[in-house]
Amino acid sequence: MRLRRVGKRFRRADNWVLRDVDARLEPGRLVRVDGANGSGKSTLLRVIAGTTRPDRGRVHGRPPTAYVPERFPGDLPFTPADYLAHMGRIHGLSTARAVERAGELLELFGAHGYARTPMRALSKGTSQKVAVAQALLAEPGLLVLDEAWTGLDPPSRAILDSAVRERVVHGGTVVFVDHDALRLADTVDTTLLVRDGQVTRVPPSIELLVHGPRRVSVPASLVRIDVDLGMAADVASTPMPPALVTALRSMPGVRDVCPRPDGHVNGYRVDVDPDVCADVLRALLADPATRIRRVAEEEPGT
Amino acid sequence: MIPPRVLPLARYQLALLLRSQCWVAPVVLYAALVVGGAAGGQELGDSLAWAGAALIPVTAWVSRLVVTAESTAERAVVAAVVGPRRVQATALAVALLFAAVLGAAGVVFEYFASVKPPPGAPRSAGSVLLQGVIVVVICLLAGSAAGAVSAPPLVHGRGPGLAALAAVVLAWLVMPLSPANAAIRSQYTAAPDPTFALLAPVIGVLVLTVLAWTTSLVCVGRGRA
Repeated sequence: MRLRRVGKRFRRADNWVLRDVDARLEPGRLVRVDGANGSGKSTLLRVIAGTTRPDRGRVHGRPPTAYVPERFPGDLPFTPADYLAHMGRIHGLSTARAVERAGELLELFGAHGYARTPMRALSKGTSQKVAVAQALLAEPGLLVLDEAWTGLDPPSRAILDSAVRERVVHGGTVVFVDHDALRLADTVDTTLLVRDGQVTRVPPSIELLVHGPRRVSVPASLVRIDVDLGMAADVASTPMPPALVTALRSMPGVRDVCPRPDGHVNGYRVDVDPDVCADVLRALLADPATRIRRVAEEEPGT
Repeated sequence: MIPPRVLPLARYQLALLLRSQCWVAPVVLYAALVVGGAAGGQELGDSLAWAGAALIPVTAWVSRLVVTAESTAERAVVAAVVGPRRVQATALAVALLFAAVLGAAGVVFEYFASVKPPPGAPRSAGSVLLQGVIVVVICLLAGSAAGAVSAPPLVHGRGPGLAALAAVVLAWLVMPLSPANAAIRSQYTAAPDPTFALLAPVIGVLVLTVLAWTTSLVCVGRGRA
C-alpha cells in the first residue's frame, strides 16, 4: 500500500500534524514508527489503519486491516468471548470460526479464565489482551499496533512478538509504535521517523547494529562499540576492569576490548565482528548499569 | 445490495445498543407519549400524527445512542476493519431500524386505540391509515436527521450533543417551514387532498435527511481521536 502526499491537521488554524507524507508499505515487512511524544506517531498509525482520513493526499491499496489503539478502555457491555465473536464476524469470519479463533487467542494469552467476565470488570492488562486478540482473529494483511505491548505481561508480550513475526512471514505488513527501542529489533525492516510533520526513513540504528552486515549494502568489517561499563562511584577510580571485560574478551568474534582513548574512567571500546554484534550487545545490556555510548561500523585499523 | 461486513457490523451495533440498556429510556418515553396521548376518543388521523411527532425526539435520541455507544478507541478498532464511513452509516441505519420498529408499534397501537372513520365517511379508514403511516415515516426520517447532526462527528460531547438534539427536534416540530411540521399539521387540518398535501413534506424530509447523513459521513474520520 502507498501513502501519497498525505497531510493531516485537526483544525484549520493548527499546524499540519503530518505534511506531504509519502511512504510505501510492502507486504511481508515490519515497519517501526519512531518519534518524540506528540510528534504525530499515533496520527500516522491511524491514517495507515484507515480510522482517520487524511485532509490531503491519498492512501492506496490498503489490505484488510486490524488495529490495536493506544488505549483500549474495553468499556463495552460484552464479555470478551462475545466481543471477539462480533469482531471476528466483522473481520469476515463465520460465527463458528470466530468463536473458535476467539477461544484459541484467549487461551494463548492466558485470558480464557476471563472469557465470560464482563469486559467492564477486566483489569487493564486483560482488556489489552482482548484488544490484541481482536486484531489477530482473522490474519489481517495490515496489522497496525499502537503501543500494543503496553500493559501486557511478559509472556503475552513474547506471544505478541511471535504473532507479529508470523504475520510478517506470511506476507502481512505490520506497522508498530513501541517505547521499547529493542522491540522486535531483529525483525524490523524499516524505521519511519515522524518529526515536525515529516516522515523520513531512518537508518535504523538498533536494527543495523543487531543485524550487522545483513542489512547494509557494503558489509562492514568491524563494529566498534563505545561503552561505559557499570561501576559504583567508589570503585570508579580502581583501574581494574570489571569482570564483564574479561567475559567480553573471551567471547568469540570479539577482537579487542580496551579503555577508550577519551580517558573516561569506566569507558571502554569494544571492537567486534559484525556477525556477533548482537550477542555482544545483549551481553552488555544484560548489566543494567551499562551505557552504550556509540555504535559504529569502522574499517579495521581506524 | 448490502455491502460486505455491514450485516455483522449492524449486528454488533444492535447488540451494543440492546446490551447497554440505554434503549430503555427512549422506548419508555415513546410508550409514555403514545399511550399517554391516547386519552380516548381521538380520530385515527390525529392519533397517528401524534405518534409520528413523538417519534422525532425518540429516533434522534436512539441515533445518538448508537453512534456514541463506544469510546473512540473501540470505534477506531471497528473503523480500521470496515472504514469509518461505513461504521457511521451502519450506526445511523441501525438506529433508524430500531426506531422504525417503535414507530410500527405506535401505529398498531393507535390503530386499535383510536376512533376509525365510520363506513361511508368521505375518507375511508384505509386511506387515513395510509396517510398516517406516511406522516410517521416522515417523522422517522426527520428524527434520524436530527440524530445525525447532533452526534459525532458533527457535535462532540454529551452536553452540546443533547442541546443540539433538543434544538433540532424542536425546529422539526414547530417551524412552519419544517416538512415534519407540515406533515403533522396536514393531519389535523382538513386539507382538500391530504395525500397530495404530503408530497412536499416527503420530498423535503428526504432531501434534508440525505443532507444530514451525507454531512455526517463526509466529516467522520476527520477529527482527533
